[in-house]
Amino acid sequence: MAKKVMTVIKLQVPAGKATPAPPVGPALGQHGLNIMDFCKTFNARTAQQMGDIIPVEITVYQDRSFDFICKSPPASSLLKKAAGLETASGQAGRMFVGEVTWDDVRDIAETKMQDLNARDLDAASRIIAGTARSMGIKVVQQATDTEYVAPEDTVAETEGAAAAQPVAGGTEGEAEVEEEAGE
Amino acid sequence: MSQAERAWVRVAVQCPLEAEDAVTGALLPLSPNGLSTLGTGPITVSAWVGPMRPEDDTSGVEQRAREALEEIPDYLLPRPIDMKVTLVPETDWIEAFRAHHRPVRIGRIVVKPSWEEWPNPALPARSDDILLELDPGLAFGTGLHPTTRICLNALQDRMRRGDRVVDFGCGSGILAIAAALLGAREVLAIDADPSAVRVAEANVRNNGLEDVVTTHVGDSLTVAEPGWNIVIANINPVVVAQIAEDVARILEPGGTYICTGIPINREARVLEALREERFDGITPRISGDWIGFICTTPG
Repeated sequence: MAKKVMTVIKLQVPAGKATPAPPVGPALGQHGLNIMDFCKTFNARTAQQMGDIIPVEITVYQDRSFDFICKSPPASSLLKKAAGLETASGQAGRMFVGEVTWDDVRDIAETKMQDLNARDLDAASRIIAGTARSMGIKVVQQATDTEYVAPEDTVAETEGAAAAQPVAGGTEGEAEVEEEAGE
Repeated sequence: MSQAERAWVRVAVQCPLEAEDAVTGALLPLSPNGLSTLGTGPITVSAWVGPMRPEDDTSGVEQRAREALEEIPDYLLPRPIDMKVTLVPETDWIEAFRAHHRPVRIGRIVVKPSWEEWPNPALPARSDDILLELDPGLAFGTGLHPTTRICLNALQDRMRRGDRVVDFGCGSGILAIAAALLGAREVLAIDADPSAVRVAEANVRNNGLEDVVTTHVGDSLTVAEPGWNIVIANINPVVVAQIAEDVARILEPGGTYICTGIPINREARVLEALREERFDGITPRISGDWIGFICTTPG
């Protein structure tokens, strides 16, 4: 007694933190689904993965019922973990906020191979490396000792220069200069 | 600021499927609640920034999105970048959300959405009904979810007049308000989400209970001194297990912990935590695919 599928909704939602705000509300609301039901069930299922972004595919049936499956976190999220970052740069290109090795990149490419639509592992790795650079994460042959400026500090410096500088200024300033000189 | 006035900026980027992860990585910092993706190739990835008021300037959002996307190599994301920015009013999906809410009776409590008529032929009034008027906005707790039913029934079974009650993860405030309507002397409603607490405050006022219920934005029970009779938490298995230790600390001897938000078959770690904290008389309550527990501190 298979139910008739109306559509499939794809979302990426922080584990354990779905709310009826966007993107969940509009995506489910337009198909008349019970938004709260989804949020509550998603949050309960993903509570143990707090901190990850979870891609979720929601199958909507014609009677407005739905099923959903959770997938492995996107490459961007795995890269942040590999680089030990809380958030991505927001200023990618002009400033690197961390690094990963080509080995990390290949590991992530292997994990994501099925989802990437790439011919082989080399092609998949190039895609992952492109994602890394777009996030301000440098791809290096071997791990270096570079001290990267954390994205939070970058914000603090631009927003409240006077207050933040005397405490946090010195070492971070040097790290930034070192990084630029190395480019 | 009423819900109807608020809007979200939707930044929709069309890209090849291979670029999904890169575009996701670029847009997520703008859109911490997550992203939506349409299509199978090419796809449209949408970030949602907000909520905003009509007078807010949205050009900064567009610029930040464009700057983040420009960093993606052009072999992944072809130029020019196909990006559309639109303002979507919240009313669009609040209406859809409201369509699922009807007045509902749970024990003696009738939860009535503020926009619905009651009594009505589908749900006639009874003499001992306790009316709980609620506008959940976009917060959790509408009375329809099985876990809310578990909590409302448990409160009616276990609460005595004059009890002091903590509602941890209060969402719309439905459980805190129910406790106050059932005769609690004092109720503390806590939620980590400031917008949920605003919704709860409005609902407390609409039920005329601001003298009984106080609200607090926070993600722990450390704000509460010992001396409570009931702690109720409808969140998820991880959180209700994590807070068991604090619950045991702030409850009076013989006080009651009511916890749910637990899908059936995911209760093991909750039970473990309850036993570790020496809760007595652990009683399961099941509704639909969900389970909750009622238990008491030794006393």
